[in-house]
Amino acid sequence: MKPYTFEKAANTNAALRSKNEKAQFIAGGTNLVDLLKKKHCSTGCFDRHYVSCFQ
Amino acid sequence: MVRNTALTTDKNILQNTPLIAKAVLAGASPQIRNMASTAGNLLQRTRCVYFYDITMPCNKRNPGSGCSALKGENSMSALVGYNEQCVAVHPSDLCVALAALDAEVFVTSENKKKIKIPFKDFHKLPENTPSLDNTLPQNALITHIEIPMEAFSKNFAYVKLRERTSYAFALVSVASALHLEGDKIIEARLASGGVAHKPWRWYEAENYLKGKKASAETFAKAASIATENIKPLSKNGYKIPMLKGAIETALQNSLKS
Repeated sequence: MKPYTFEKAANTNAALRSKNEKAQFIAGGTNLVDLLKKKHCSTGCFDRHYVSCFQ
Repeated sequence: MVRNTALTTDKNILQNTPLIAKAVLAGASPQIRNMASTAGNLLQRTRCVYFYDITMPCNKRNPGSGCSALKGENSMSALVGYNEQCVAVHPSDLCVALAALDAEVFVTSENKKKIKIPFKDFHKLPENTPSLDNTLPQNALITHIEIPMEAFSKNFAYVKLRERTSYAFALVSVASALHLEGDKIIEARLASGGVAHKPWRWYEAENYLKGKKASAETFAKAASIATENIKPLSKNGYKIPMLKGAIETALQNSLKS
């Protein structure tokens, strides 16, 4: 298993603060998780910090 | 930003822009709609078997490697707006309705600047950058979407043709909305999914419909205008008569809604 971390941001500003080159925003419906499972995102998706900002 | 299911039960949506609810209900499954969100729906990647098959070349996944679908299995691929770089289609139903209703996407950029993107410019055609599906700036967040309250709450329809009646992507879909006075069309909106790299508006057909009498003949002519110059790929020519029929049916069904 490739490691990743997940953070739920409280609001837009908090989400933007958490964004850096290792972090990626995630939202329901983006099908990013599909792509991860299929090892589709070979670079840039794994070992990442995912930030959700769903209010 | 809400779950897709919330869009289908919200009083405001059902009263003012019911086309949105209709389109969302045509997509995915109840379980997926419970998890899917507005921004996630907008940002889902285009669907193409070669994009998901990491053993095959794909300009979207690996820029410059070539498009396997162009001369390969392209029966689900685009009819319009494609090029030799990419023939993938945007899969969303919600986005077809948002395109038809001229929604606006509100975005906060990484330096906290608020930006407004007209829906028609939010998704893009492949151009020379097929790896990009949309124009959302790097590191920006979608905060909300606005839909103008126009006179499209009475006469509208969403027709989706697919390989099974639930939980399948559109071969073609059509959102139509008519602003009528009696049987005169004041303004018409027509948009399609499953035909292009972005939700596609049939502007010429819309212009033709403006001021005309709402009738089967008018609708048939509008469908002809939309479909007459389409150049299909090797395996998706079957979509053209399907699309033509779907446009006519959607316009016809708009009178009943």
